[in-house]
Amino acid sequence: MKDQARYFIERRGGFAGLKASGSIDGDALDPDDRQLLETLLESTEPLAADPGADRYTYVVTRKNALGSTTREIPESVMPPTVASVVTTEI
Amino acid sequence: MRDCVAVEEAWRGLRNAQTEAIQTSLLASGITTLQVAGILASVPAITVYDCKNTRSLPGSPVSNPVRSTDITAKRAFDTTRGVVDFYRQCFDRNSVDDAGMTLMSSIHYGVRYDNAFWNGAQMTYGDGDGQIFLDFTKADDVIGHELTHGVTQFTAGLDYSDEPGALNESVSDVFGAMFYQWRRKQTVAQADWLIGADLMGPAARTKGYACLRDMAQPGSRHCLSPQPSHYRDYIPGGDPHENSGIPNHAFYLAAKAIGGRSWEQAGKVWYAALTSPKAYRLMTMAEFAALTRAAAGSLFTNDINVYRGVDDAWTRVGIPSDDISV
Repeated sequence: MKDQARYFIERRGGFAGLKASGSIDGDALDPDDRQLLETLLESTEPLAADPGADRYTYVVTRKNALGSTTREIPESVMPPTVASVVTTEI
Repeated sequence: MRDCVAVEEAWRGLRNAQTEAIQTSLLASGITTLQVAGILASVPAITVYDCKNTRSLPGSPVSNPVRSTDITAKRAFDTTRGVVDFYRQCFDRNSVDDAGMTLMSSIHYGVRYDNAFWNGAQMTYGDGDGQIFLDFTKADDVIGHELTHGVTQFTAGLDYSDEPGALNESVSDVFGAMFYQWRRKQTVAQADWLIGADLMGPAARTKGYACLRDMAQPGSRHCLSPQPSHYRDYIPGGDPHENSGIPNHAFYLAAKAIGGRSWEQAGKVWYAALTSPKAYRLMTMAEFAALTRAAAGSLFTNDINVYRGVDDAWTRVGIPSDDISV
């Protein structure tokens, strides 16, 4: 069931304030990065925003047969390979 | 030679660490005046680190950035020094904390990273993807913008959401734009009032985008990130970079009405508001506007045009003077 998940990722913020988005199947992710992403999505602790300004924030939605889960994830803890899924459309 | 370089780097590291330790100790003692701290660091140290396309901060130290063959390292150093001079000469401010804090920049962050940020302690610059954005150190206003986030952190301490967030971003754009104009000795009439124009890559230019933001025309089609310019169009819950268009436009209108060079009068008014003891973390746009109106009246008692210019600017963006007083 877990392997059929698809992750929809939206990036917000940054100096430009431009949104970027993308999606990827769970089984296309590096297993370690996927595990980290799952830990972040399932965490019951609030994820503190990165300090400072102009940081990116990622809104990740996992959709699978069990439903949909959405979480805001600060840039500093986002697995880089997952972050690289998004593209900016202009 | 290699040993000498290693020793110099070690010495430089120790010196910076000592400066920072003394700064921390002074701050802990409540001693933050320029006069006292200025004895320690009348000119802040400027350091540059190379992330070498990783996301590990701060990266490896660049031993002599002013003579580096890496143009990005040299530019980060030179422009940061320019911002230091700008704040010292125009606003009598010694570094972002007004106590000579060492200014650290990390360059080549990430791979084709389309961003620059302030992380609460240092600046970080990406190389851009080369298509939409170029190297973020190419733009004076970007470096001025990021350092000003440090100034805001040590003064009003503005929050980073809703109206305080929009003010936080606007203050960075305002002082970034002023720094750009100051470096070129531009009058308000000569200035283009664009933010991020030097960042625009070929793909953005081809599509007609001249800048990220335009303080004169925040909603213009030539902006990659158009913004509202009037308070009636404020976006509840919007990104701070969206709603900052409203106070950005107010500053533009005030500076244009006052005339001359932006940092001489309008800039001093905005700086006085930002550093006012009445400025605070959750300040609204109306409260900030009231502080600028008060500063315009008290700083330029013999020139009523400054107050009129500031008052009219806020009124034109939908924040009239009867909204609040200080």
